Amino acid sequence: MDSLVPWLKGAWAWATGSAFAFSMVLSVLAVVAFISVWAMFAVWLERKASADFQVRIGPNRVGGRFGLLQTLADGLKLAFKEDLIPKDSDRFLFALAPAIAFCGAFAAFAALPFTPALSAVDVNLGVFFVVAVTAIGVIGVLMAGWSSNNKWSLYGAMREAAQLVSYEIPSALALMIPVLVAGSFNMKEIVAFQCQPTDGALDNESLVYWSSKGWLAFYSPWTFIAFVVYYIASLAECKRAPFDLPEAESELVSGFHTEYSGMRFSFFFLEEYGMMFVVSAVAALVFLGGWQPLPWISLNMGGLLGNLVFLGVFLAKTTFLVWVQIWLRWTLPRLRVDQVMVMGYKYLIPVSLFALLMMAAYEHWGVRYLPGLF
Amino acid sequence: MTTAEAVEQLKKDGFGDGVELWKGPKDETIVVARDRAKKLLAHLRDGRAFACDLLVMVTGTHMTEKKDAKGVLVREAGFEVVWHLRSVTQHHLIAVKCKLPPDDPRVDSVSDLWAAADWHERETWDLVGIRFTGHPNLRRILLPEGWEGHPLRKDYAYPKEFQGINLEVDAPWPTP
Amino acid sequence: MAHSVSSTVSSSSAAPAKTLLLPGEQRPPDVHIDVRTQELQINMGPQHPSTHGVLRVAIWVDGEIVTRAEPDIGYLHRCAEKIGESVSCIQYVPYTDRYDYLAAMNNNLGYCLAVEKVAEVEVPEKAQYIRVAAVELNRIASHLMAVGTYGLDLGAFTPFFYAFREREEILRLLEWICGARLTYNFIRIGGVMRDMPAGWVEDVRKFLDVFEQRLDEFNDLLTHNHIFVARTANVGVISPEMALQYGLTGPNLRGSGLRYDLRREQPYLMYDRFTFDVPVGTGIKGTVGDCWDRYWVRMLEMKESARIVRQALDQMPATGEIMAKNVRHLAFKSKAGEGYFGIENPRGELGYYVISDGGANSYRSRIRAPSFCNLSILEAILPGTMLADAVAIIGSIDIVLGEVDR
Repeated sequence: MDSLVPWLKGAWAWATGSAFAFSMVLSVLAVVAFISVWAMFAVWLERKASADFQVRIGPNRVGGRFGLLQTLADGLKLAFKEDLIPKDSDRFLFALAPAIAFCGAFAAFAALPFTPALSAVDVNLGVFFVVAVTAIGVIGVLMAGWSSNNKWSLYGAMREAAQLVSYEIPSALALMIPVLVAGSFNMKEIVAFQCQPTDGALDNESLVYWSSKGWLAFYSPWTFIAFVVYYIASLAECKRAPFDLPEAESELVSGFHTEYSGMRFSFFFLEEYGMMFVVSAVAALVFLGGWQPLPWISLNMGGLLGNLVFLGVFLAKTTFLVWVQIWLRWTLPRLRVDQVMVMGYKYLIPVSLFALLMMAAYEHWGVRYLPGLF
Repeated sequence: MTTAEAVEQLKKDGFGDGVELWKGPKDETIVVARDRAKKLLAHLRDGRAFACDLLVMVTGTHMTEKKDAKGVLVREAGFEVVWHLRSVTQHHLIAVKCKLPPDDPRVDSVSDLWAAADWHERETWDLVGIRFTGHPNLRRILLPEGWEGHPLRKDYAYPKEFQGINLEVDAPWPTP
Repeated sequence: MAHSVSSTVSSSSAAPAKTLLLPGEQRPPDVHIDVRTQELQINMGPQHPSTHGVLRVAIWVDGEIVTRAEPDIGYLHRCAEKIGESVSCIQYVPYTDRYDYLAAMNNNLGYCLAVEKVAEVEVPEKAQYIRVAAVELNRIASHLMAVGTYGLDLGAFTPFFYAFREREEILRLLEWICGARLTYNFIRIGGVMRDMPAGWVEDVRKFLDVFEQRLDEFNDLLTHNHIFVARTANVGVISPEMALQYGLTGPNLRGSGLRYDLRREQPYLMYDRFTFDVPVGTGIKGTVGDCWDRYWVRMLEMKESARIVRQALDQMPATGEIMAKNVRHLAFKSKAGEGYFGIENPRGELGYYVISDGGANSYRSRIRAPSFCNLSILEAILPGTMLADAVAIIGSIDIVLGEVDR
């Protein structure tokens, strides 16, 4: 968006005042369109992947042999459903909850750089912003559980509040480690750090060049630990199994969104798949080199072709991480709430704190893998 | 041990004439009067020779009077309670029966001897109407709370309506 | 979990509002804080994904800990025992399918054995072997359902499909032999409904050959999974004394360590001619008698049932009658008498107590449903556990509401 503003100002000089508003609206629309298409694709991926794990076929009727338009059909069906609001529920909160939950996931998209030239806003505090804004979703879920006037939904909301808030800590701590190494919160700069050339500036380099930093996941054992901790904590943030207590189907009927149907339910769905994308994108950007295809071998491309290649690589990595999330969901049973808390507080937080400490020490003494060796 | 041997042992253990062996057909059963029933069952549970630690079930039956073709009384009117007991250690199954008069179907509850009896006795009360004295919580278990009557009695009259729903067989469908 | 916090602070703040109390000071009497917490009563069911039927468990919880639980049954009561008195014994056999609908062959068998005992009917040998094969296949199907849905209760969605893939094959075999997939009406009084079709035995053998490997696959996925073990080991521990007190039988009793199986105690059909083990819970993952033990006993029993089916098919005589000679179906009359027969259902001891006075109908047929007795232990065992554990415990007891309510 930042690059849109001067272009708009230049092209339509008479629209100076509204150039900002114009570009903002365009960016928002672009992100909404992306989330919708992504959610369609992610749901299709989930259904096909789960079918594969479960010795079934999955959707294969709507939209060709692979059922590609199945999600569109389901979304249309949800849009046309009757809008039910329980009689004794808190109507205002009931209506507001899905919107707030969705906004939490949606706002994080503002800071995600898809390619070096394509991001909604170039946020200097990108990582911090994403962590902070995804916490808004907690409020939405709490509101949903409370306003449903249903004890089981309340249970889902209470469990979710405990779980999501607790797992923000190891998630954020784990993210601090690559920030420490790269020296910046800005996600573009973190990716630039990972594909930094060994000597000289980027302009001198050829198309393919060696970058000794490599992906942050393999930069140091502590960043690898950070990657694993972040991935597990992000599973809890997305309320995905094995941490799917808030929507534990077999215990709480449907958890906090039991009473929701139709379009409101589809908002929660969009929020869930939006969050999956956000956390996978952050992991891909910060730990897996963003838009660079290979760990130590980097591409130096620009212009439209370069950005398209980078976009493809970025989306491929994010989709892979989402696929691993789906894989874990359909394989593992669910953890009990006290086991979830134990996992978060007694295992992930100490591990991530220790890794942060060790990484700081390593950085101070300029060590990467083993002290005294290299 | 077989039931016949059990009766022999029980007679020696002090029950004397209070227990009888009913030879069937088909199952041999120990018959006991209702005032000694609980004492007998407790002895069957605790006695080393019997060690009946598993209560299989408690059955209640409403018996109507039946005379055969010659006018001889084949079945007395009244109620019957049968307890089936198993022993895991002694590997036997013993049935104990008790006859109750038709106007006063009461017998002692054994829910303090076996916790399984709790639900069995509630079901017997619910469906047959035999009252188990000393049961901590004798209320209906299968039928809803306000149901009247005990369905498994032979003189049970089907109710005409329940909670506003017409239960007659040829009743028209309710209009909304 | 419902708080009510009401703090009434004196509204006349003419006096300076003291927010801090110095040491030794008393809180002024007009500041009144009342915090009450009370137990939340929730209904689990009658419509609930994990109660395996229309069961309502009224649970009082304090946070996540259950303080009191009261099962409420009767939602599926279909007057089974009353119907037993109004239709003839022969006509009653299809009704018996519907009680424990997941192990319908066993239900048929129990009733037929009880009536055959009272009416003194002798079943031919080949019919008995066919009965054994059908009943043990049904036992495998029932246990597959139990372990599959148990994984589902705990959030493992995939093992359910693996279990049902096997179950689908068994249901196909049973449909081939009798025409129905769930409620068979195959085992009749005096024998079985029809002989095995050509090719049935080979298909059963083919199924059994791959079944053990598939079970190992299932074990890799669910049984030894750390999360599954963490959810089920040391949860819902039932001691053997408690199990006997509450009338628990079947895998629930064997999960607590007592090796008691009616197929060994009072061998009916041909069970004394087969070699099979009776698995018991040994507490390898946690305590003896926890949910994992009951689940593991079911897994091992499936392997034993496969063994029994193999032996039955091997030992079966090639030719023979499938129905007793002295059973005239259109005019079947039992003999006067009463008898109890208990068999080993996949869920425990299924018993029928039949009182007959010589007519076509029975005077009283009382059904001893294993799930009815197994369910009564919930009242004693749920208090003190967490809500998620309540789901795990109910799933491990493996109840079918059809036979709880009859």
